[in-house]
Amino acid sequence: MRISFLLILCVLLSTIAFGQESGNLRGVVSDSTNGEVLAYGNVYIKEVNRGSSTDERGYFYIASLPANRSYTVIFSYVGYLPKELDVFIAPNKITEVEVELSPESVELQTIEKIGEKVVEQNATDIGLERISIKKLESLPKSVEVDVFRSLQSLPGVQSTGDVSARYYVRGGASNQNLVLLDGITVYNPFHALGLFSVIDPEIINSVEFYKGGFPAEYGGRLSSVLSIVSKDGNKNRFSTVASSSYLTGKALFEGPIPDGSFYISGRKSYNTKIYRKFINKSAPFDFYDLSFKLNYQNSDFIEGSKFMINGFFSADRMLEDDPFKEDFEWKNNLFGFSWFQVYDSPLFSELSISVSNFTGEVIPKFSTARPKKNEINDITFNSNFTYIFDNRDEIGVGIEIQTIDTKLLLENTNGVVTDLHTNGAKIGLFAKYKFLQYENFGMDVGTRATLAGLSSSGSFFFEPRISTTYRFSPMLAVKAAWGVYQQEITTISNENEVISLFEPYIISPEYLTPARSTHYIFGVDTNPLENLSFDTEVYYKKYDHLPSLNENKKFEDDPDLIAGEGESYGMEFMMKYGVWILNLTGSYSLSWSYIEADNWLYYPRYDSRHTLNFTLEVNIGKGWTASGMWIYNTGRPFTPLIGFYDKLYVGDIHENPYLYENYFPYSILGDKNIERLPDYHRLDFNLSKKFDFNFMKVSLDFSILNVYDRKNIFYFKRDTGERVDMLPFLPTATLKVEI
Amino acid sequence: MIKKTLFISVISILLFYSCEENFSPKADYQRRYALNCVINYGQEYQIASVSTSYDVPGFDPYKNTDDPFLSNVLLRIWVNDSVFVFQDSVEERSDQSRYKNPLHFYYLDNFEAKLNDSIYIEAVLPNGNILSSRTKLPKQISTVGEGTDISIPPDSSDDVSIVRTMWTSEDKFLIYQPKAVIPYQLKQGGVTTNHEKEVPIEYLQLSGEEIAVFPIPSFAKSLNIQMSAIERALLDISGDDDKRDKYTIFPMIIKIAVYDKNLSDYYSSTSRIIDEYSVRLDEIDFTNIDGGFGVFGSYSIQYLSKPFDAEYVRSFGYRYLF
Repeated sequence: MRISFLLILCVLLSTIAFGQESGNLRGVVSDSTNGEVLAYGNVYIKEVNRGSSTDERGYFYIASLPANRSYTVIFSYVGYLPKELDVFIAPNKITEVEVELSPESVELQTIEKIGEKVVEQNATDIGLERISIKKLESLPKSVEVDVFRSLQSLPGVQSTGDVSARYYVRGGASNQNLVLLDGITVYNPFHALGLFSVIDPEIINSVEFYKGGFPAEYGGRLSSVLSIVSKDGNKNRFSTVASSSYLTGKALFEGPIPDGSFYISGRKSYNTKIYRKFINKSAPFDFYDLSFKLNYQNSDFIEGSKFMINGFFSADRMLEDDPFKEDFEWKNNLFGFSWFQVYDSPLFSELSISVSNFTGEVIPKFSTARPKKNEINDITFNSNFTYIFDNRDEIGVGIEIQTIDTKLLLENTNGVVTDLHTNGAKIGLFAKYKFLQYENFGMDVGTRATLAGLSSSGSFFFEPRISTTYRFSPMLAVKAAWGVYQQEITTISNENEVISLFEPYIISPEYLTPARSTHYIFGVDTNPLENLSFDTEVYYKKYDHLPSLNENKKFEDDPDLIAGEGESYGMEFMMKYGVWILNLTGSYSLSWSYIEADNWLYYPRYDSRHTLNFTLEVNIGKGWTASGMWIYNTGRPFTPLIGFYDKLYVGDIHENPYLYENYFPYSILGDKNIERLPDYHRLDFNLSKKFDFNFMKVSLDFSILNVYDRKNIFYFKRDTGERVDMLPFLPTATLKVEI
Repeated sequence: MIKKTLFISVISILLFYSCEENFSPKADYQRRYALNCVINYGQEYQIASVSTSYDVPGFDPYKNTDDPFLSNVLLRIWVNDSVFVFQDSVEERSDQSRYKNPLHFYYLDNFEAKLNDSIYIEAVLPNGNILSSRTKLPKQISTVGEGTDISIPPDSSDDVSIVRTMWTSEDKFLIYQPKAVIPYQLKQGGVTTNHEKEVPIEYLQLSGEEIAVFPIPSFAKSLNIQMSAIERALLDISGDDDKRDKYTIFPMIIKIAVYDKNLSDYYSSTSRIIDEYSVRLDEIDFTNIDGGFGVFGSYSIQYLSKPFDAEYVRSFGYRYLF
C-alpha cells in the first residue's frame, strides 16, 4: 500500500512543469472594522479568469501568474463590499497583499460572491459544507444560535429528536463525529443534557463540516468532522459584545495587543425554566463556558509567523441539597498553542500542541441513581507542512502524536460494574497530494498511516483517501470520493440514550479490532443559472468492527462492547436559489442505515427514510431579515410493546424475606426498532432587526419554534405507554449589543 | 378575497397537521412466561411462582384482572445430589384491588443447602414449556479489622464520631443490604419482652425537617454509622420513660443481607435508574431464566456483633448485658 502511494506521488510530481517568467500572489483577507480574517472568501483575477479561496486563516495563494504585468484582483465575501486591487506580479517572486473588506451597511446586505464558479471549479470538496456565522445567525434559533442544531438542517444529518443537539451523519453514530475547536478535540461538546452545544457562536470565525470523504489531515473518527475556528479578536480597537437570551447571558471582550489581538468570552446560564419545554420536567442545570485566544504576529521576531494560545473551559453542574437526589457535574478544559509559519517560498507550516480534558460524574448520594464517572485526558502534538508548486499542485505532510488516558466507572442496566483505566499513545503520519494544475480537474490523494495505535490492534494501519472533481462545463461538475477511516476511541453508550448527561469515552478495548469504515461518495453539482445550484450526492458507507454496547453484560468479565457491522447508503439533494432579497434552500435525503450486532440486524434510532428541509431567508431591508425553516422526516424506528407481565421487585429483604406479593406490571418489548413512529415535521420562524447607532450596534432577534405546534412524538414511556412529545410552540427572543 | 382564501387554507392545513396523530406503541401480543424464586439461605421454607404474560386494551396493565399466576407446574430444585419438589399452594392476597383470587405459589418446607452451593431450578409448564436457571448461594463474608471499630463508641484516633464496619467477600460486585439494630429487653410488671431498635446511619436536615437515613442496598462493603445516630437511637428506646433501668441493652447487631450474583444484578436492574434525567429507551429486562423472564437468585443474612462500652450505655441509665 505504502509503495503504491509513493509511486502515485512520483508520477504526479513528474508531471509538474515549472513555469518561466511567472510570479505568485499570496495574501490574507480580513474585515476592515476589526481585522478578523475572512475564511473561505473569494479571490478572483479578472484578466486570466483564475481564482482561489481563502483558507480558515484568511490566507490565499495563487501560483504561476504570467509576470511583469498588473492584474485586477477582486476580493469578495458574503456581506462585504467587494474590492478591486491592481496588483503587479514580479517574476519569480511571491507578491504579498493584505486586503481589508468593509462590511455592507445593514440597509444593503446584498449577498454576492464574485467569481465563485471560477474559484470552485476544481475544488475537491465533496461532502464538505462551509457554514458562515451570518448564515447561522439568520436561521431560526432554538433559544439561541447553536452550531450543532444548525447542522441538523443539512441533508444527511439526523438527530434522534429536537430535544438534543447531538447529531448523526449519514448513518453514523454520534460518537463517530469529530468536533474540533481550533484543532483541539472536544469530547462532550454539550451543555445541559445535550440540549445545547458548548461552543458559543459568538467566538466562531468559520465552520467547516465534512459529512464524509474527509481528507487525510483529519483522522480518528469514522463519520464526520466539524472543524470550528474561533475568531482572532479585534485587531483595531477594543470592543465588547453583550447579549442575552431566554437561557443565557454572555459577553465578549476583544481588542488589540502589541503585535496581536485577543478575545475573552464568557457565557452563563441564568434561567432553567426553558428546560421544561425540552424535557417535560424541570432540570436546574447550571452551566457556563469561558474561552480566550491570544494572537501574536511580529515580523521582527520571526517573519511570517503567527502564534496563538487559546483556552476553552465549560462546566455543567447540578448540585442538589436533597441527599436523596443525585448530583451531576461535568466539564471540558481545552488549552492549545499553535505556530503558523509562512515561508519565503510557497511553503506553509503549522505546529501545535494541545490538551483536551473531560471529566463527568454522577454522584448518587442516597438516591437510586447508578454511579458514573468518566475522565479523558488527551495531549496531542501536531505538525504539518504544505507546499504549493508553481503549477498549483499542493503537497502536504504531517505528523500527529497523541496520548489519551481514560478512566471509566459505571454500572450498566444489568447492575454490572465497569471499572476501566486505559491509556495509549498514537503516532500517525499523513501525506497528501492535491492535483490542481488543470482548470477543470482536481484530485486530492492521500493517506494516513498509524504507526503506533492507541490500542495494539490499531497499529500499522493505512487509511488511503481520494477525492476528485471534474468540471465538464461551468454549469456541471462531477465529484467522487473514497476513503478508509479508523477510530480507536469509542463510547459506552448508544443512540437509545435519547437524553443523556454525557457520553463516556474509552479507548477501544484490546479484545476488539478498532472500528473502521469505508466511504464511497459520488456527486453532481449543477449551476443552470447564476443564482441557482443543484447539488446531488450519493453515498455508501460500510462499517467493520463497529463497537456496540453489550446489553447482555451480566458479569464483570463480560465485555462492555461487542463487535458489530453496519452499512448506510442514500442520496442527498440540495437546491440553492438566490434572487433579489430572497434566498431559498431546499434539501431532500433518502437514506438507509443498518447495524448488525449480537446476531441481530436492526435500523438504528436515527434512521429516517425521507428527510425534507426548506429554508427561506428574506432580506427585507433597513436591517430587517426574516427566515422560515420547515423540516420533515419520516418516522424513526422504535421498539413496540408486545404485552405485560407481573415482575418481581426485591424490596426490603429484612422486612419481607419471602417476597410474596412484590409483583408489579412490567411491559415486554418486541423486536428492536421494528416499528416506526409517526412522521415528524416542524416549521420555525425568525425575525431580526439590526440597529446601527454611532457608538453601538443592536440586534433584536425573535424566533418561534414549531409555529403550528405539531405534536412530534419523541418516545413513549414504557411503563405507561404515555407519549412524550418534542418541542411545543416556543417563542424566544435574543438581544445583542455591540460596542 | 384570494389572499383571504389562501390565508385560511394555509392556516387550516397547518392546524390539520398540528393535530396529534393516532399512535399505538403496541404490536401484536406475544405470550411469554416468568419464573421467580429467591432462596432465603438458612431456611427450610422456600417459595417460587410461575406466571404468564397478558395483554390489555390500551396501555394500563392494571386493567388486567385475570390472575396470570399458573398452577399445575412441575417445579423442582437440584442441590448437589438432592432434588426438592415444590408443592402447589395458595395464599390470600393482602391487596385484592387487582386480582380477587388467592395468590398461587409453590413452596418447599424441607430445603437444605450450604453457602456457596450451586442450585438448579426447572419449571415444566402444563403446556410443556420449560423454564430453568442456575444460581449459587453467596459465600461467607468476614470483617476487615482495619476498617472496623470493635466497640461503641469507637476508640479510633481518626474519627470518634463514626462507627465503622467493613467486611469482605471472595465474590465481587454483590449487593449488600446492611441493617443495624440494638436489641433490648424491657422488664415491666414482671414480664420481660424482647425488642429491636433500628439504627439509622445518620440524621439529615431537609427543608427544616430531620430525616433518618437508613442504609440502602448497594455494592458498598462497609457501613458507617454516626455516633449521634446511635445516641439518638439509644434515647429513643426509652422515649419519655424516665425509668430507664427497666431496659437492658445488648450489643448492636449488624445484619447484612448478602445477595448472590443473580439477585444482585436483578436488584440493580429493577431498583436503580441511570439518573433522574437521562432517558434510555429499550432497556434490557434483566433475567437469568432460560426460556422466560424473572429471577432465580438467593441471599443469606449474616450477622456481626458490635459491643457497646458498658459505661457508655450506663450513662443513659440503661442496664447493659453482653
